[in-house]
This record gives sequence, C-alpha cells and structure tokens, in this order.
Amino acid sequence: MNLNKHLNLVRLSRREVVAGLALLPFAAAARAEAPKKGGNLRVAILGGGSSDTMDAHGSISVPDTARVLALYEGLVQLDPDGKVVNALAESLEANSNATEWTVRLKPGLKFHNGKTVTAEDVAFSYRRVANPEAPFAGASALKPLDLANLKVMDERTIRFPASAPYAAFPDLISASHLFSIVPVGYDPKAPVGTGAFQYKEFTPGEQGVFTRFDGYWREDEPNLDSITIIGSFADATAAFNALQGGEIDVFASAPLALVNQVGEGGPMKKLVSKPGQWTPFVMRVDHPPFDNPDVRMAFRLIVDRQQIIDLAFSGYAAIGADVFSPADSCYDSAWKRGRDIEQAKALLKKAGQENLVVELVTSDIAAGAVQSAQVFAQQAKDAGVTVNVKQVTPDVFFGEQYTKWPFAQDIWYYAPFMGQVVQSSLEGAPYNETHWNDPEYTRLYNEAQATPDAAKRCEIVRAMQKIDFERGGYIIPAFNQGVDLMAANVEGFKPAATGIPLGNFGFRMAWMV
Amino acid sequence: MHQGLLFSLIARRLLLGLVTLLLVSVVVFVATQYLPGDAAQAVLGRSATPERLEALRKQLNLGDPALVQYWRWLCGLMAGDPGLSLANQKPILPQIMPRIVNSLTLLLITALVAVPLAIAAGLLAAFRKDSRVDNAMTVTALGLAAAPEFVVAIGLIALFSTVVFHWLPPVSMVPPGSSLLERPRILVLPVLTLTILVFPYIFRMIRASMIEVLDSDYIEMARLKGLPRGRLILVHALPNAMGPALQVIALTFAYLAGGVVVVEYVFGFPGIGQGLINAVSTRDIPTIQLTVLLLAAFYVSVNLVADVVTVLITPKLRTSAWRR
Amino acid sequence: MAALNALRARIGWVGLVLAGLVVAIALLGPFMAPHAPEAFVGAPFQPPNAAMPLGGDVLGRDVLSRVLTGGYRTLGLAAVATLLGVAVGAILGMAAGFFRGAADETIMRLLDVALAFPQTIFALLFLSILGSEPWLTALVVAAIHAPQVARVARAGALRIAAEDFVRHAEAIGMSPLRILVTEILPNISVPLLVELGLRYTYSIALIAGLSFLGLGQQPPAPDWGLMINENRIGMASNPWPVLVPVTLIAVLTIGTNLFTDALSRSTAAAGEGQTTEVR
Repeated sequence: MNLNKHLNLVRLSRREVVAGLALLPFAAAARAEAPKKGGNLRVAILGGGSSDTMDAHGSISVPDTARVLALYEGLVQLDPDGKVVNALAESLEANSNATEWTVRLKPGLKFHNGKTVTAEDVAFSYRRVANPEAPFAGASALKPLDLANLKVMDERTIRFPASAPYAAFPDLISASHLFSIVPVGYDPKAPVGTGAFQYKEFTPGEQGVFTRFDGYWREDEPNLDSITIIGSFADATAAFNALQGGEIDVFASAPLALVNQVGEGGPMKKLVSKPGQWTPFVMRVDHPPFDNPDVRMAFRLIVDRQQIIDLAFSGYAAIGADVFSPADSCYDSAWKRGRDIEQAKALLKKAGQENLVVELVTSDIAAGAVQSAQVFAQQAKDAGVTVNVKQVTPDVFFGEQYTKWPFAQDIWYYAPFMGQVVQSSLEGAPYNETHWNDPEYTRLYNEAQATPDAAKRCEIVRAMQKIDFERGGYIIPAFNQGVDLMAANVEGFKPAATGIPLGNFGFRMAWMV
Repeated sequence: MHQGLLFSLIARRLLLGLVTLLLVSVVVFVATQYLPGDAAQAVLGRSATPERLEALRKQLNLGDPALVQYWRWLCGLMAGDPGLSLANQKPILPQIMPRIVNSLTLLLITALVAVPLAIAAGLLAAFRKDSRVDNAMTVTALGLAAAPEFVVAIGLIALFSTVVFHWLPPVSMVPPGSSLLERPRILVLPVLTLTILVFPYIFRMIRASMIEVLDSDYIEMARLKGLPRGRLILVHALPNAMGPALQVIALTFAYLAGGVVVVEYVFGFPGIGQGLINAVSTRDIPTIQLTVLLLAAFYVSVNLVADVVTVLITPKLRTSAWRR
Repeated sequence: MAALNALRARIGWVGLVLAGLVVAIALLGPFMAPHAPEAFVGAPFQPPNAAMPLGGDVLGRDVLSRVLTGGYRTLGLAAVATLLGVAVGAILGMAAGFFRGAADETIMRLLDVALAFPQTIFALLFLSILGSEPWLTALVVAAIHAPQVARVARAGALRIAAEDFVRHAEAIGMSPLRILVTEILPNISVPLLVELGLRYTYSIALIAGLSFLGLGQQPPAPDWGLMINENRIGMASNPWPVLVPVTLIAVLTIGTNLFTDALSRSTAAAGEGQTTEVR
C-alpha cells in the first residue's frame, strides 16, 4: 500500500509542475509529455506455464507472444489501427502478376549481437518457419511461396518467388510475431533478434527479464531500461492483488469482473483496446442442421448482439455483423445485421427444423466467451431453439475435436481479411472450422491473389465478404475490446485493433513517470 | 522379545507401503492413458496442426506402447531420475523441488501452530471437564470438524481479505526470485485454514485421552500420595495421554495430503498440490506420476509412523505406568 | 450427569434443526425461486436491489433464485453416494466378520490397500480424467466410504457372531444369508446408522468441494459449490453469491455433525463413544 501512496504523490506533483508550466508561453508544447527514460516495467500475463518458450517462431500462448514481440520483429507489422505497415522492410514490391515479391530491407539494422541484418538472414528465417520437418504456426501462410528458389539479390534485397499468384503477401505476413527475422544459425536457447529489448534471463512458468537494446533502429525507442514478464501468477485474482499492492506495474488482459472494480482517477488505470479479438459461434456448413443456409441465417438472426455485449463483455465490445476483419481497408461498413425472431422462426420452419435442439461447445478460452455462449443459449429460446451449452476445459477444447465440433466457439486475434481467409476459410486451411468449401468463394480468392492493384482487389474482397455475410458459417456477434490494467504512472501503450494486449505488446513505446 | 515383534511389524508395514506405492503408480499411469488428448496436444494447444503434432509426438516418444513408456519411467525412477517434463522437456525434479519445499513449509508451520494449540486446548477442556468452557470448546471443535476445507478457506478470505477486513492478501503469490519466508503475510490464511482443519481432531483426542488418564486409578493414587499438581500433570498424566493422541496427530497430517490440494487451489499457493493440478491440465504424465507418488508416499509413510508409534508407546507406557 | 445428557441432547437438537433448515431450503427452494436460475435479470455483480434481493452473480443472474435451486442436486447425490457406500461397506464387513477365515483375510487386505491410498487425491484425479458424470461421482465417493464402514461392520459382526443366539441359529441350520439379515444386521444397525450420518456430512463436503474445483456440476447449472468458485472473482463487488452458499454448506455440515455426534454419544454402550478415525 505504500507504493500506492507514493504513486499518488507522484501524480500530484506532476500535476503541480504541469500547472506551473501552463503559465509559460511554451506550455502547450510542454504538455505533450516527453517520454521519461529508464525504469523496469513488471508485467503480469496469465496463460503461461511450464511449456513457455522463447523461440522466435514458436509462440503459442499469450505470454509467448509478448516475449516474441519484445525481442523480435518481422518485415511488416500491424499498426494500432490494424493496417499493414513496414517494419524491418523498406519496401515490398510485386511483379505484374504477383508471382514474385522483391523485398528490400532498411539499411543499418542490427541484431542484438551486433551483426547487421542481411537478406541471408531473411531467407534463413522464412525457411525455418516453413521447415517441412518441423513447421511452425506461420508455415501455412507461406505455402504459395517457392522457398527453395529464394534469391538473395544483394545485401539488403531478396526475391520471393511464388508458385501461385500471391498479391496479398504483405497481409499474410502481418502477424509479425509468427514471422520474426532471426540471424542465420539462430538457437532458441540463446535468443537473438532485432527488437527493442534483448534477452537477459528466462525461466518457463516463472519470469523473463529483457533489457533495452541500445542499437535498436528506431532511434528514440525504447524508453524503459528493462521489462520483466511474470508468468507465475496462478490466476487473475493473484495478479490483480499484486497490482493493487504495487508489486507489479501492469496486468495484461484482465478479466472484466476485475476491471469493473477499478474506478477512474485512482492508483490504477485501464487501457481499453480497439475492437479486434473475436469469439464467434462456429457452424460446420457440412454438418446437419447447419448444412442448410436457412438454418445458418436463422441462427444469425436469433442473436441479440447488444445484449451479448452488455452481459458477457460488460460493454467492452463493438457490434459485429458476421463478417470478419472489420479493420481491413477493404471492409464494407455497410454490413449490418440485427435481431429478427420472426424471420428466424420462419426460416427454421421452412427448413423443417422447428424446435431444434443443438449442442454448443465452449471453453474458457477468452474473457466472456463462455458467458456469451450462455447468453446466446438463453436468446435462442425465443425462437424455439434449445441450445445445450457444453463447457469443456481448454485442453479438451483444442484437442482432437477442435475444428470438428458441429457447433462451437473459437477465439481469433485480428488478421487482415486475406490473412484470415487463408487461416480459416479455404479448403485445406489449418483452422477451417466451418468446413467451408465454396467454389465461388475460392474462385474469388484466387482472383484476388492474382490482382496486385489494391483498389481492384478491394472490390473482389467485398464480393467475398458478401458471401460471408449471406451464407457463411460464422456468427460474429461482437468484436471484443481487451482491457489491460496498469499503475497510473505507466504511459505510452496505445490501444490497438489487433486483439493482442498492451497495444500489440508495444513495450518499446512505453515509459514510466 | 519386543524388539523382534517391532521389527517384524515395521518390515511388514514397509512392504505393504511399497506395494501400495507400486500399485499407485500403476493405477495413475493407467488412468492417465484415458486422459483425453495427449501432451503434444496440450503443449501446442490451438496451434496443433497435424504436422506439428506429428513432429512433437516423435520428439516426446509418445508413440511408444504404454507398457514400454511405464517401464522406462519406472526404471528411471529407480535410478533416481524421474525423467523430463512433457511440457518443456526439462528435468522434472528441479521444477517441482521448490513446490515440495513450499508445501512442506506450509505443513510444518501448520504443525507448529496447530499441535500446541490443540494440545493446550485439549488439556484445558479436560481439566475443566463439563464446564461451560469445555462445552463451548467441544461444540466449536465439532463445528469446525464438519466444515469442508474450501468453505473454511473462502470464509477466512471473506473475513480477512475481501469483505469484512482487508488485512491480508486473498491469494498467496510468491514473486519469482523471492522465497516464501520473505513474505510471511501470504502464509497466514493458508496456515489458518489448515490449522482449523486439523485442530478439532487433535483437540478431541487429547481431551478424551487426558480425561481417561485423569480418571485412572494410577493418577488417583498419585494424588492421594500427595504429589504436587504440577508434577502430577507434567510427569505422570501428560505422557500417558499423549500416546493415543500421537496416532491421531499423525493421521490428521496424512489426511492433509489431500486437503493441501484444495487449500493451494483456493489461495493459488505455489505448492505441490497446485503442481498436480497444472500437470493434469497439461497432460504432463511423468510429472503427474511423480507428484501423485510423492503425495501417496507422504500419506503412506505418515500412516506407517503413526502405527509404529502407537505400538511403541502404548504397551510400553501402559505397562510401565501400571507397574510404578 | 442427567443435566449433561440433556445438554448434549440439546446440542443435538440444535444441530438437527440447523441441518433441517438447510435441507428445507434445498428441497423447497426450487418452488419458491422468483426467477429462473438461468435467466439474466440484471448486470453482473450488481449489488442487492429490488429485483434481486441478493444481487446479481457473474452473469447478472438472480443470486437468490440460484441459491434456492442450487442445493437439492448436491444433497441428493450425496445421499445416494452415502447409501451406496454404507451398503457396500456393510455387506463386505459383515461377510468378513461372520465368515472369518479366508474371506475375512482377503477382504481386510483389500481394504487395507484401499485405505492406504490418499483418497481425496484419487477422487480428484479420477474425476478430472474421466469427467464428472453424476453416477461416476457417486461411485467414487461411495468407494471412499466403503472401507471404513466395512471396518465398523466387521467389528460389530465379529462381536455379534460370538453371541449365543447366533450360535444357536447356526446350529439349527439356518442359512448364512438369513442369519446375516435377521440376526446380525439388526444388531449392528445402530453403529451403521451413526456411520451413515457422519458419512453423509462428509459426502456433502466432498461433492460440494468437487463442484467447487470444477469437477462436479458444470455451468450454467446452479450449484452451491460451483457458485462459490465462479463468483469468487467479484467478491469485492457483490459478496453474496459466494457467502450465501458458503454459509448454507457450513450450517448443513455443522448441524449434521452436531446431531450425529449427539446420537452416537447417547447410543454408545460404554465410555465416551467417539470415533477416532480421521475421515
């Protein structure tokens, strides 16, 4: 409790200083607070355990992702609004039919061990991700590439040939935590990357300490001296308690029941992300009764989306209209869907499925997920549909039945539309949980990949979204906002639309007052 | 004569104990084969595509037949190496050692607090037999004995942490790098919970045993002889009363092998009970086996000690007491 | 002495009344609940108000309704498990005590091994592996009770079997089964009943505890043990969804214990008649 008092004092005195400065002519400029350098940020993240890893390409849990985003970077990344921007790459250019990408690195990039980043390192990294003997999660997005024929043009230039047109390549590698650039001969036991922080120590299930990298290419970053990522908290109450007691500075991705206990202006504050993560209800379009598009539409019409947001997500979500990737530059904001019980009943009757009984499988995979399933089950009663919610533990959920349940939930971070399609909506996609295999949709996808012009590609993408909207297998009631809790003196984290906590784990931008 | 009987008793109980432990390991291993999903699935979680599962399964030798896996584990254990955790392929023992130490610390402190407290209370109740104090204490003990562990734990949390007072932390978090003993406040509620669990049985046993001893002819005679009260109690009554009580004390602590799991769960205490819960959720079969085996060994050996102590103390003291 | 017995009896009555109150709430509650236990009435962890006298739970459901409907399943399952365990234990114990010899040896060795297992840990392990179906839970809990009950039954059977009237029945050729049922069983019924009461308390505690750990009833079912766990996180906002079930379970187990203890004392033939076993 002493630290909290201290924080209050600090806050007051800063206010006094700023108030004093207001009298000076350059007050306005002074008010744009300059980041203070130094300090060790202690961050609690749940979801880790004994299988924690520091591998640049092997992140599975949220704490893994935090570590990877602190230490490594990719060619491109997602900015806070969910747009794809260059990171280590200076430029990415496609040839006229998108069968070849030429990537040029920024000059003067250094690894933590002082070595310069070259095109050879890029080649090594991508081959490592896609290694057929031990593929990592990013491998599925690299399938269209012909990695055997990667061509290093010079120190900073590399050419990626593709066996099929691949116009959306930058979109597909935008999940930068899966496509980190590492030096040739990378060993996960001695992690080396290009990120703002470098490896100091790490114990799985306990904590990792990472110190600032002075050779980081963004010159005014990072601000902190070090970050400590603590993964040993047993549950959210423990982490919340530690934050209250001043033992940690940040609690990433706090459950909403705890968030609601934090008032405004106190020693703790909230960082509310932009809507990004989504926990849809997934219908298998090849399994009765969901093989009938009328039934799918009926289910979508049953949902009272605002009620789910209010009850399951405490208001921390934006309404969804069953089409994914709302932050994509090609997303059509005209997609809207409300509740229509009469129409739902009529559709069910037409399909011969009145008084339908289904099982919805859910698990505690994200804040509010189980609750949204329970709320949906309640709502379904209004249309005469009985939904039996079956809650299983996460390890069973992601076990052998995962992507095979006829009707279940899931969790997705934000991905640009094409990236999402590659993951979930093509035959053979690694997470094709709706078992989607629509010929028109696939034709449109191939056409989009063969269209290097962004505007023309958007038109095709919108046509695909229309199919999703009208007969897809996803029910997306909302896009969730994650809430991180932190001490009042922590600054710099920006709300991001990626669904990844702490502004896409933007540690390089953070500072402590 | 006594020595021979004693040795044969200990030997037989030891043998039974070892057989039990072997059976425990077999039963646990068989049970874990029925866990839905395997360690590779648990590690990879959502990222478990068929190719990655294949690769990891090969790495973890999960494809070998069950009997082979069990035999390999058993041989390793005999050689003192319980193997690698399936979750991170690092040796198990260094990972669970801190947890074992934490749980033992918890049990030790509970013993140091609960046993003297219960003995003192039992003695008090015995001396003031059937008085208001005695009745109040007996009824309280009855009540405490009945309440389930998690009810006691939550009740204490509500009382001291969340609802009524805010004196103590509701969870027992040990930041990495520091040890339990540096942060004694987090121990208070778990120890209090375990004390409440253990207290009633020891209290009742001491009380009953002491009452019996105080009523006995031997003590009556000593009193008539004019022995001062203090000496009477300390030197003659107490040792006789302790005998039967020691068995109950030991048995109560054996029972804690199970109770500690629930208490650690409620308080998030980084002990071996929590380690077991984690190991089950990650399907880390070698860790599950070792943890259950350790808990069972604790339970079995404490029971063994209790039985042996009973045999040792009771006839010897009884005979010597009557002959004095 | 008489005053003492009266006092003990009074405590027993107090225990019975307390336990009875909770049982009444559990059994009659479902008919008195103002809302359906799974209906959403207000905001999550809303403090008590007109619509929800005990406030809202983690999903904004009425705590009072969930409390009223959350007891009878646990009580019923505990009763079934206890009856099963006592029945099996009694049969095994009587067989061992009456037939003696090889049957006795085998049964007692098996029970020794069963008792040597740390029982709660195995309950946790089996249920978390095999799932938490009610019948499985009943079986596991019954299996925990049976060995101890068998010991009590065996001790009683040994004692009774040595009596003259039993020897007489054997001599006139009465079938062993008939002897067991008509001669032995009635005479050990009192200690068995006491065991039944004690074990019922323990069954409730164990089953509620398993629900608390997530190994019992699954959400969204209203269940006292489950409610205690799923509402823990909001105790600072609204403590009632945790405190009310906690109090009910505590009152029920304490009351039953007080009553059975008084019962065992008053029926004990000699001495203080208390059980020294530790669960």
